[in-house]
Amino acid sequence: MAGNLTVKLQKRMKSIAFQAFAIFIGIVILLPIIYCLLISFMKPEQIQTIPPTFIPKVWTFENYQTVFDTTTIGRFMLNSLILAGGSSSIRIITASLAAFAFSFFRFRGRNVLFMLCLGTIMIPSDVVLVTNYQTISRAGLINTYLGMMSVFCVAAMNIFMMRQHFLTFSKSLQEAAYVDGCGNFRFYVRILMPTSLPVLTTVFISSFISTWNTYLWPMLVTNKSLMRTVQLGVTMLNYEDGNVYGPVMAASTLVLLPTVAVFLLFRKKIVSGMMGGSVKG
Amino acid sequence: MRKTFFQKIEPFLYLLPALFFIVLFTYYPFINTVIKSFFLTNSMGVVREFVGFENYLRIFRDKEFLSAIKNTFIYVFTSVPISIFIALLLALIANNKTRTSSVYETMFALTMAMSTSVCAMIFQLIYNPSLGILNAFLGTKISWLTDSRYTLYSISFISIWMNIGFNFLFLLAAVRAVPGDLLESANIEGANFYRKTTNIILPIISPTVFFLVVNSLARSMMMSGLVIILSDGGRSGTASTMISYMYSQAVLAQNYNNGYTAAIIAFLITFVLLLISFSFEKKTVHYN
Repeated sequence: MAGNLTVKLQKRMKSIAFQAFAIFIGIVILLPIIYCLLISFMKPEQIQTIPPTFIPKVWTFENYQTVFDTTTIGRFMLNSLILAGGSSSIRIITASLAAFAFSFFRFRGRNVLFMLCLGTIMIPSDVVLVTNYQTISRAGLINTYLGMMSVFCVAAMNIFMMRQHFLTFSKSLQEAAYVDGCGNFRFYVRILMPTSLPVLTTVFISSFISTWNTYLWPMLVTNKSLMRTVQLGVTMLNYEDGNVYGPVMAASTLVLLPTVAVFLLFRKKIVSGMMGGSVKG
Repeated sequence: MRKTFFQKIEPFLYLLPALFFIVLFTYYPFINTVIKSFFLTNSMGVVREFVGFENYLRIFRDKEFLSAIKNTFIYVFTSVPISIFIALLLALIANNKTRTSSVYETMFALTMAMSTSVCAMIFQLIYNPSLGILNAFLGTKISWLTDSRYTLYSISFISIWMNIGFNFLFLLAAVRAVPGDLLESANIEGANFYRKTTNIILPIISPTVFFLVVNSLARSMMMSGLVIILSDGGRSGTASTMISYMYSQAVLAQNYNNGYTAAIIAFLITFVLLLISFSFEKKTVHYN
């Protein structure tokens, strides 16, 4: 009996030690983020000390104050929000409409068009960057939200994911709706979309994170500081006296907050979305 | 029952928005880039004359582009395997569910939510020769980002770190799907952790590993953001990649000839590399 208890206790201790080890590894991996956070709360004088230190002696919001006083970070945030929110919403509409056609209709050329959509996965967006920049520039859309959003308005993976989901949708429900005099488009708006809400959220969230984090394209199509996104803004904070790191880390923290928050809140959804077409509503 | 005209075109109406963007921003620019790589263009990007493969011959004599190809390969062949390997170790650690597993699983996965520019800024400080924590920690005085012996690997390290989260999530799902009775019978036969991993877990998760290799290959071949931010807009050639070269040629120098050609070469090299990995698939990946 006593022996049994010690075995149990040993097992318990082993498990606790293991969990502590795993969390320690987690902290090691997140060190760059922790470092960024700690520096952002450090006094500028302390950041300048050599050898560098890790923990702030005095915790201060000074760096955040500097960021808000000297840059238009609020505007950068708004721009990023419009870009990420806008293009993710458009993506949901374009992808769900296309997936609706691919899964509920039989028509000539369906497979060819579907392959045409999936084929875009083979062409990396960076390869076509220069021509897309010229297209946007010729259309006079430099420094506009429309220009920034344009290339993110459709993603083949989203079409594929939604199609997989729609194919699991009961055909009898569609027929019942049809008998009730519900047209195809009404069926899409009133029944298909509301019942697919879980998939739509997954697509929206992952697409939001990726467009919020995008760097190269917004840099190409904007040259006015007022239209810069937050990702561009954070790399362009330049202060004369070399005292840049405090505010830069403060700004980085602010930029990280939304995506990290979204990731923590919706981790399960994001993961199920990433695992591809096997999403269940 | 004959279809009315509307019924015939109805599905195409639903496809229209998606196809519009796909054609305008993927197929048109791709074909356009291929065609223009065979022409001379002026600094406005307007076609002047057909020159055949001359752009290609010229760009392959450009030392900077050759070193961009070499650098891209160094980035890919260091960052892809190391990141997947680290993620695999983490997935093995996180395999068994415990009371706090959701805490460390989230910690292992969090780098996924990081953006290129923020990571670049954080590591710029970490790598700073005098103020950065890395030299202080190692007791060295290395200029990680400006000393040409280290630049490539310093940048590659950032992308390893950024990719850990994504790779980890996939590998965790794969490792957890390994049937428990297989591991149990291995336990009875007295197999150790290493034997269990190489003989049972790795073959079963090989499709996921293959997917991650292909996926990271395709993405890393297009790597450019870190280089553009951390090495002076990609202008200093020591760290440049194919895409950062394309960017600095086309956008900064208005040399569209080199820009288009570099883009197509980057595409072709990536394509061939993917074909090669698919040919390895049959030998090394086990599907059940």
